[in-house]
Amino acid sequence: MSKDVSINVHHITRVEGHGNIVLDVKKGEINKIQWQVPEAPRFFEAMLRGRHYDELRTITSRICGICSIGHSLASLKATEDAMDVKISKQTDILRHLAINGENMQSHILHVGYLAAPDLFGVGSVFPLASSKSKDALLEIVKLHRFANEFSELICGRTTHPIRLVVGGFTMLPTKKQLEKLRERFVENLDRTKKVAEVILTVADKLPNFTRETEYIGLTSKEEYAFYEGKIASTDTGVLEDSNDYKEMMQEYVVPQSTAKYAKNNRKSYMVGALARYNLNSKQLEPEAKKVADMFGLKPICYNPYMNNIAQLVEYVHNIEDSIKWIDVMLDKGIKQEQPQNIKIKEGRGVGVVEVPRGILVHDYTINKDGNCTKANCIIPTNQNHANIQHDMEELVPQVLDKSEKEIELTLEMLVRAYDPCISCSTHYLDVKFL
Amino acid sequence: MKKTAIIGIGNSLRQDDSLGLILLERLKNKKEELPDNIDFIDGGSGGMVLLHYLADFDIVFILDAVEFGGKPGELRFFEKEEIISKKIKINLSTHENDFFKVIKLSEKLNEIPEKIYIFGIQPKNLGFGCDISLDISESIEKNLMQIIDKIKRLK
Repeated sequence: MSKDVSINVHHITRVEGHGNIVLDVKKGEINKIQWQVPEAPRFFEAMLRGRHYDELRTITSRICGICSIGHSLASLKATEDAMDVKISKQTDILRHLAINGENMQSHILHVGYLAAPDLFGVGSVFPLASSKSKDALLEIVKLHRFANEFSELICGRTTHPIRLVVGGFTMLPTKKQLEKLRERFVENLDRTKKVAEVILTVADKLPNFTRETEYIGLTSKEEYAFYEGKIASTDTGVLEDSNDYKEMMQEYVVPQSTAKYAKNNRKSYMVGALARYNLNSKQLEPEAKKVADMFGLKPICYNPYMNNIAQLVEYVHNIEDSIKWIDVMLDKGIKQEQPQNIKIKEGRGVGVVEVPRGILVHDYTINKDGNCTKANCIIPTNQNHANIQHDMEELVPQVLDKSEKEIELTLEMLVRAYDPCISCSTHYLDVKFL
Repeated sequence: MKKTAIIGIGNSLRQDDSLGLILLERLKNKKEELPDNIDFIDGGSGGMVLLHYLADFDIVFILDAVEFGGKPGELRFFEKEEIISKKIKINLSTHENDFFKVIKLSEKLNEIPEKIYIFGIQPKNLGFGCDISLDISESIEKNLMQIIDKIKRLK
């Protein structure tokens, strides 16, 4: 085939932040395929140096307007690990709820507002309100609203939580609030299943593309891991000590991107809902498993477009999991715990959690005065950039017979499937000019 | 009783774009001059979160920087109906028309408040920075009086 294709998507829409897709094909020969990230670095790690331990969470929450709860939790875990602070069982449960809330907010926003327009063949979420899918959109809006309100009840705010502090919570939900919340979870479980049925009717629009790659995420014997677990890979197994995360998350720099790339066993790996699903699918709650079955999702699934479906499955899981935690709290009764007095201790701590887009690491060194002297944050989208690039390289030859417009949409949908949070992933680069 | 909110919209890092948020703060400090039972909401730089706020209220007052070709600091008042019918030839809000779309979406989903009143203030500078233009800061007090007066009559 000897056709020319020239695609230059300068700032792809319906993703968080700025990224470009460049494809140049001359007489059937591929000259250039690039996933480019042109965002400016944000220097968060440098901002943390010299800051007191109790400010680190508030500052790092601001890395992301979507994963602010996840950044807060990774930050608290790293700080508590460094200073040897122990938390109560009740705090542990509330943090599990907090991370579920964030995952639900982000996943439904992505599946419903950012990815679904591609499946329904429209340019954005707004035209859906005037289509026959209006009722489904209304249900999606209600699911998003519920996830926001759930997060607000546990964290004090929908975004940039204020109740989460080193060692505990500054304010707790009441018994009455938790009882009411439980009722709403049950109601929204039904609603999510209905939305899943609507998405199923257009799921054939997701390209059937597979490329074997490595998946990395947290795994735990106790649960489908979000808040607690060990770092694991579908290629190399479990990393026993999270302090050694750099062994598995090897970051490096490429010219086309201001965000770092990452690799482990292969030239790239993927993180996020599909990675978690591939590692931990057996631990999904029953209704979540049913939704996975509905879409024919089976581990190990190598189709990156199915990340959208894995997100939907996780939304259902988060609901079922939250009901279980609320039941534990209601059963045991809410203890009126006050945030503990923290004893400053110097040391290094690593906090790892799963946020909507994948595994997140915060690594802090704290000195005897309680100030941070060194910080490193590994952001999920950073870890996905190389995998997006390699997917594109394998995908393009398979779709070259399509029209330029179709190729462009297929590539845009690929990037969107990763739900990239590009602004968060840009890092300080250490560059030497020769 | 009708649920009422005043929502300020703006980006406090983009100079005059922060006007909606500044006016919101000033109104909060003058609560005693306003009718009771009004919620004050910082809508930040807008987006889909506004859809959820709109669903919660019967009457909503929006404070925002609006590009309508007026003099810097000039206050313009308009109602939801005027926006939906696109009678007004302006770029509603400085947030890439996001808010306009959110109002339309809210209407389509039958969640829209009975009344939405918009106080738009003409900005001058929308570059990066935390300071607002001098002409604008001089107009704040006068605008505030007009806004309070209007809210008292409409609530």
